[in-house]
Parts: sequence; structure tokens; C-alpha cells
Amino acid sequence: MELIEKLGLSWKIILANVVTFFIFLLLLRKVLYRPVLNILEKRRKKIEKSLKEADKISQKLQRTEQKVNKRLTQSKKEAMDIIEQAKDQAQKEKQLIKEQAQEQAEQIREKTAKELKKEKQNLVNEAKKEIVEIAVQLSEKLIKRKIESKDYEKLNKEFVEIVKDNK
Amino acid sequence: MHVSLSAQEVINIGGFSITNTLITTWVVMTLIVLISYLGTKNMHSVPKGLQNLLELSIEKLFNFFNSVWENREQTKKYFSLLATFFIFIIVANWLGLLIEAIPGIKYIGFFKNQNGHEAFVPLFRSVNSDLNATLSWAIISVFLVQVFGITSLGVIKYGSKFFNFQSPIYFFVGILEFISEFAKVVSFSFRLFGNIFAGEVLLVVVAAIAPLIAPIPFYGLEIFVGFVQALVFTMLTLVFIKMAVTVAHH
Repeated sequence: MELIEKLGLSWKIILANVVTFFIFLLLLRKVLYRPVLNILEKRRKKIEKSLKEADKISQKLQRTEQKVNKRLTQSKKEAMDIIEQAKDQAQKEKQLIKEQAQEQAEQIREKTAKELKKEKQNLVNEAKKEIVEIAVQLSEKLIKRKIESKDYEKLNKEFVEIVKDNK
Repeated sequence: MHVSLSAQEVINIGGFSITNTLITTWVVMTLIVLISYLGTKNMHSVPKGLQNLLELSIEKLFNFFNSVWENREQTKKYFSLLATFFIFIIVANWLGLLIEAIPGIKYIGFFKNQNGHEAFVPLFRSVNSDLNATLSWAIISVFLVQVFGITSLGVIKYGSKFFNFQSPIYFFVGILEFISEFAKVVSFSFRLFGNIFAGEVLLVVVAAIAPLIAPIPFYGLEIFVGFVQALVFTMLTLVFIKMAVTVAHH
């Protein structure tokens, strides 16, 4: 009991402490715990929501990117196809033009050759005619000079006949 | 050099003696409530300044308690009591150190005639260096542990922890448990009182032997002790509550 006295223990003070502690607790709950925990909870929810939204947005972005990529590859492929087709077309056209040109060239050559042949024939014919005429004149002259006999008339006739046949 | 084991009476109102620790207790409580009020008066969704500090402390405490409970609802239920214990004890301890550290505060007081001779009565005294205060917190803690045990398990189930007639062994274990509840009050109160009072005495002694520089490391030590004692008191209360509200496996 001496110890209690020395420590100054008093049930009144303990009671006062207990009462003030509970008042203190209620006050703190009102001005500290409730508002702070509320705002923390609110913030937590907000952050959770924002994170979820960010997730959604990034997913959307990914999908859009995939779409764009798909579209891009498709367009590339189409462009390549078009170029390929154009190349083919150009090749074909080139071939065609080449063939036509060759054909024309052939035709021109053939025509020229024919004409040349004809010309040549003409020339030969003309030359023959001239030669014959020259020969006839020559023979006439020769024969006139050498044979001024009765056979002349006959021979002349025969010769003319031969030349005519030869002609 | 004088260290009084008990708190001294400052004024006596109708047979109720108001001691200097009681005054300090009220000062500490008022300060905490005032600061909390100022910090949460205008709450902003983007915290700054005092609000930030309060939010940080509350969140750290909450997460700390939650790491023991592992259940947000349960933590919320007992948060007020545990946080109040922690905040009050740590602030009281540290302000008690300030009373020692700031020259002058210790000497605010008056001389009083006690048992025929004049004695100096300081106006402030570290809250937990008075057994009355620590005993009050211990009684609150142990009493509320019983209340939580009964409200969550029921009188019969919770009482079977102490009064069990299934077998002689359980009977004696129950009696031991019953006694240990009172031992808890004693250990709670004397642990806190002993640590803080010893700290006060240590600081006074060191300051008397070698003033100015020598006490500084001891202040560091006492700041740590003040924190650890608040933590120990809160943690033990938390563990006792958890033990009381969970079903015992017999």
C-alpha cells in the first residue's frame, strides 16, 4: 500500500483518464480517421477506375493499330498486284507492237522484193527486145551487104520467122 | 536534482486533485485534435501540406494494421482504437521529451507547501511517466479486448476460454488465462511507465553529470524508445484483440 501511495495511484485520476481518452477517441474519429480514410478510399477507387480505363484505352489502341496494319498490308498487296498487272500489260503490248512491226517490215520487204523482181523482169525483157532489134538490124545490114542474091528474100523471111518464134 | 516518482497535484477542485500529468494529457490531446482539425478542415483531392502528412500517417498505420489482420473490414473496425493508442502514446512521449529538452518548460510551476516543507511543482510532466496514465490505457485496452471478444463470439463461447469444465486440464488452463488477463493490465502499464519514467530519470541524471552536449545522444535514444513503446502497446493490443475475436481450437 505504501507503493501505491508513492506511485500516486488514484482511482479518480484513472477514471478521468479513461473518460477523456474515450472523448479523445471520438473526436479523433470525427476530425481525423473518418475524413482521411474516406478520402483515401475515394482516391483508391478513382485510381482503380483510371487504371481500368487506361487498360481499356490501350486495348482499343492495340486493336486500331492491328486494323491499320492489316489495312496497310492489304493496300500494299493491292498496289503490288496493280504494278504486276501493269507490267504484264506493258510486256504484252510491247510484244504485240514488236510483232506488228516485224510483220510490217516483212511485208515491206516482200513487196520490195516483188517489185524488184518485176523491175528486173522488165529490164531483162526490154534488154532482150533491144538485143533482138539490134541483132535484127545487124543481121539485116550484114545480110544486105553479103547476100544480094535471089535467096535474099527467102533468107530474110526465114530469119524474121525465127526471130519471131524466138520472141 | 529531484525526480518525483508520482505526479504532483497542481490544484484541487472539490476533492479531485488535478495533477500535472493530467494537465499534460489534456494538452497533448487538445494539440492532436487541433492539428487533425486544421489538417482535415478543407480536404482536397490532391493533398498538400498538413493534409498530406496526416494522410500519410493514417495510411501507413492502416496498412500496418492491415498487414496483421489481412482483412480490410476487420482493420477498419478496430482502426480507431489502435490508431488512437499509437498516435496518443507517441505524441505524448515525444512531447514529454520536449518538456525536458526545451529549457524553461520544466521550470514552469510553483512552490507549494507539502507536509511542512516547500516543494517545487512543475506544471507539465511527461504523460506516461505517471503510472495513473499508463494504468488507464492498460485498463482501456484489456477491457475493450474483453468487449470485442464477447461481441464477436458471444458470452458463452468467449467465457469458455476462462471457465471450462470439460477436463481438469482445460479448467486449470482457463484459470491461468483468467489470471493472465489481469497480468496483461500490469505488464501493459508497468512496461510503458517503466520505460518512459526511466528515460526521464536518465536524461535528468545525464544532464546533471555533463550538461549541454552529453544528453544529446540520450535524446536520440529516448525518441526511439518513445516510438517503440507506442508501437509495442499498439501491437500488443492488436494481437490480443485478434486472439480474443478468433475461435480458440480446443
